Amino acid sequence: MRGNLLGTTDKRPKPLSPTKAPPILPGEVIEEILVRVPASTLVKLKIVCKSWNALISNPEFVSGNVHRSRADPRLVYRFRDSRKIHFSSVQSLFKNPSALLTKDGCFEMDGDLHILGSCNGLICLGLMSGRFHLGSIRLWNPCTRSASDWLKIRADMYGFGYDHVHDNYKFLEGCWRYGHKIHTFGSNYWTTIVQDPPSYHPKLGIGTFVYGTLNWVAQARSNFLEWVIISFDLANENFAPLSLPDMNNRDEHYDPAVGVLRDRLCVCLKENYGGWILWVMEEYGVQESWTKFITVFSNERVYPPMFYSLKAMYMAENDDVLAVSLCPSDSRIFKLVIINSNDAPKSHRIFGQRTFVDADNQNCYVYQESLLSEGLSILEDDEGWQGLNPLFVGNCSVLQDPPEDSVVTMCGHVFCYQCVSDYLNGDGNTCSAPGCKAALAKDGVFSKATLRSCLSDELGGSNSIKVHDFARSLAAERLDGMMSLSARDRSVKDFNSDSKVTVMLMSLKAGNLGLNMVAVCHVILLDPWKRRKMVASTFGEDNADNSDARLSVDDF
Amino acid sequence: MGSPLKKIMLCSSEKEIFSVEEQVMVQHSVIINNMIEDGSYNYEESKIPLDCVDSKTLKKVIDYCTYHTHHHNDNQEDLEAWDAQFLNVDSNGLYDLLMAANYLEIRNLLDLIYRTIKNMIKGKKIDEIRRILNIKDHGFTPEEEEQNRKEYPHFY
Repeated sequence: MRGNLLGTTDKRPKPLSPTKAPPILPGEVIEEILVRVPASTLVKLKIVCKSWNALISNPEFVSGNVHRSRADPRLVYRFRDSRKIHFSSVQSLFKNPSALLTKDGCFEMDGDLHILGSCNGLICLGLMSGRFHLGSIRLWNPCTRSASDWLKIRADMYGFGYDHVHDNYKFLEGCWRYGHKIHTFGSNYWTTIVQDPPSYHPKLGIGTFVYGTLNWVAQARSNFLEWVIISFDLANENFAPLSLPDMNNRDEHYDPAVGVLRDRLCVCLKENYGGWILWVMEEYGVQESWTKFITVFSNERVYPPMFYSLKAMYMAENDDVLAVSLCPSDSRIFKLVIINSNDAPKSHRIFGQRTFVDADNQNCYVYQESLLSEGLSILEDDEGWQGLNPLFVGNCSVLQDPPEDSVVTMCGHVFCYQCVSDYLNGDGNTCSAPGCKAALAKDGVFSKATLRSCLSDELGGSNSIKVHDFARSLAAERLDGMMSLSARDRSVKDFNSDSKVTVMLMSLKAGNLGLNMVAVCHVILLDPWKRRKMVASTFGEDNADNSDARLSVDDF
Repeated sequence: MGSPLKKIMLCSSEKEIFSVEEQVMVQHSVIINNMIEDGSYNYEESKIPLDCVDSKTLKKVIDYCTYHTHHHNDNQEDLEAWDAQFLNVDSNGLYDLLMAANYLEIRNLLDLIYRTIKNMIKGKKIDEIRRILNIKDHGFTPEEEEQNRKEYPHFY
C-alpha cells in the first residue's frame, strides 16, 4: 500500500546491492549532472557537500544552468482577484491544454503585485500605487528567494530586460512629461536618456523583451492608422522605430501586438475578413526579414471577434505556439491560446477558463528557473506587505514536487493538502514519506501558518500548553469539552509523564481550575480576550511547587 | 566515411575482440570518427584497444550504438523505453558505462547517463543523495553541518 505512493514513475536502476559500495564519481561528472538539475533543486543540493556548494555558487556554473533551463520553461502567472503567483510547466500545457493549469507551486503575495516580465530566472514585480499606476518595482528570483530593493518609478512606458553586451539587467521607465530613464540593477544607478523616443504615441505599458531590446507597438501621432514598433536597445540605450510587415489588407480595428518566439521578434496582425497572421522577424531590425509564420483562426466568426489582439510568447520544439489573447468580452481579460502549427489544416485551441489580470498587465510570462542572484538579497520570511511569503519549504513526499497548500506532519514531512487528505481518507495510517513509518492521523497534520504562529525555536523540547477556546484537533495531546472525563484524565497523565508529548492543546473552558499540569513550562495563549488573570489561576498556582521548571506565558 | 558494410575491431581490457559495423561507431563515437577520418585506422590489421573498458561494458556500449543507429527513426517513446531498459543496471554498471561513454565520447549515451543519475537524486533527501553517490566526506565543519541541519531540517 505504501509502495504506490512512493513515486514509482521513475525507471531508474535498482539500488545497488548492499555488499558493493557505489562508485565515487569524479568532479567533472558531478558538474555534468548538476548542470542538468533544475535551479529550484540545486538550491537544496548546496548542502550536500562543500564541493557541491562551491560548484553551485560558481557564476560560470550559474550561467550554464540558465542556458540549460531554457529547455524546460515554466509559466509564471497570477489570476485576476487572486494574490497568488503560480508556476506551471509549459510542456505539460502543450501536452494537455484542455486541463486547467496545473499548479506546480505558488507564492502568496501581501500586496497587489503584478508580474511585469521575466528573463533568465528573474521576475520583475510591480507594486501598484492606486488602481492604475505602477508605484514601485523589484526583481525577484523565486528559486533563491532573493530580491532587489524596491525602486520607486513614475512611468507610462516601461520594460525589463537583459543587456547581453554588458551582462546586466536593466529597467526602463519613461513618460512624456518626465522623460526617460534607465536603471541598471547591480550598480543601482539611474541614467537619463537624452534621446526622445521616435515621435509616435506608444500604447502605454510594458515593452516586450526580445534579445537585448524592448519593443512596443505605437501609433503615429499624425495618423492613427499608421503603426510602428518602437524598439529600445538596452546595450546602446537608444530608441529606434521598426516598421511592421507590409500587409495591404490589415484590419485596422485590431491592435498589433509584439511577442517573442525563440529570441525573434514577432507580431500578430489581423487580416480583413481573414485570420490572424503571425509574422516573425528573422533578423532583428531588418525590415525585409519579416516572414509569415502561420495564419490562424481564419474560419472564425467575424463578429463578435474572438479577441482583439494576440501576443505570441513561446514556441515549443515542434513549433507549437503559446500565446496570450486579449478577449473582447472584457477588454481587461487575457486568455491563453495554443496554436498547433503542425496539424493540417492549421488548428488552434483556447483553454484556461480562468483569466489573467487586467490593466495593461498580462501577468503571465514564460519563466526559466535560474540561480542568478547577483545584486539581490535574501528575503526575510516576514517582510510584511512588501514581501512574498513562500508557502512551501520542501517537496511533497507523495509527488516529490513542490506541494500545493502545503501541510506538514508530526514526523516532519511535507505533503500537498490534497495528497495527504486522499491518503488518510483511504486506508493510510502511517506516514507515506520514504523511510518513515510514523503513525499518522488527521490530527497530526498541520498547515505551515499554524506551525509558524505557534511554535518558535526557543520552545525547543520543552512542554507547552496551547490554550484555545475552540480546541481543534491538532497536537500531540488535547483537552477540550468534547472529551469524556476519563479521556481528559488520560491525556493530562500522558502529558505529565510521557516525555515524547511536548505540546498540549487545551480549550480554556475545559482546562480550568483544579488541573495539575506540573510539566508545563510554556503557555501560548491564542485567545484575544481572556487575559492573563485566568491563566494565572489555571497554571500559575499549579506550578508553584515546580520550581525548577521555567514557566513563561505568551499572549497572542 | 567508410561504407556501411565495413567492420572495425574493438578490443576490450580483457583482450576480447568485438567486430562492429564501422558506420555504427563512427556515428556515435567522436574518438572513433576522428580515427577513421584522419586515416590512423588500418582496416586489415589494426584493432582499437580500449584498455579501460571491460568486455561486459563494451558489449553494452556496442548494443546501444547499434540500436540507436538502426532505430533512430522510431518514435521517441519507444526509444525512451528501450533506453530505460538498457540502463536498468546497478550503479557500478552505470559507472562503468559512464566511463566508457566518456572515453569514447559518445555524446548521447553520456547525456542519457547523466540524466539517469540526475533522476536518481531527484526529490531525495540530502542523506539519501550522499548515500547514493557515496559522498563520505561532505567537507562541512561540524558547526556548519549542524547549522544546515537546523536551518533546513526538511531536506535531511
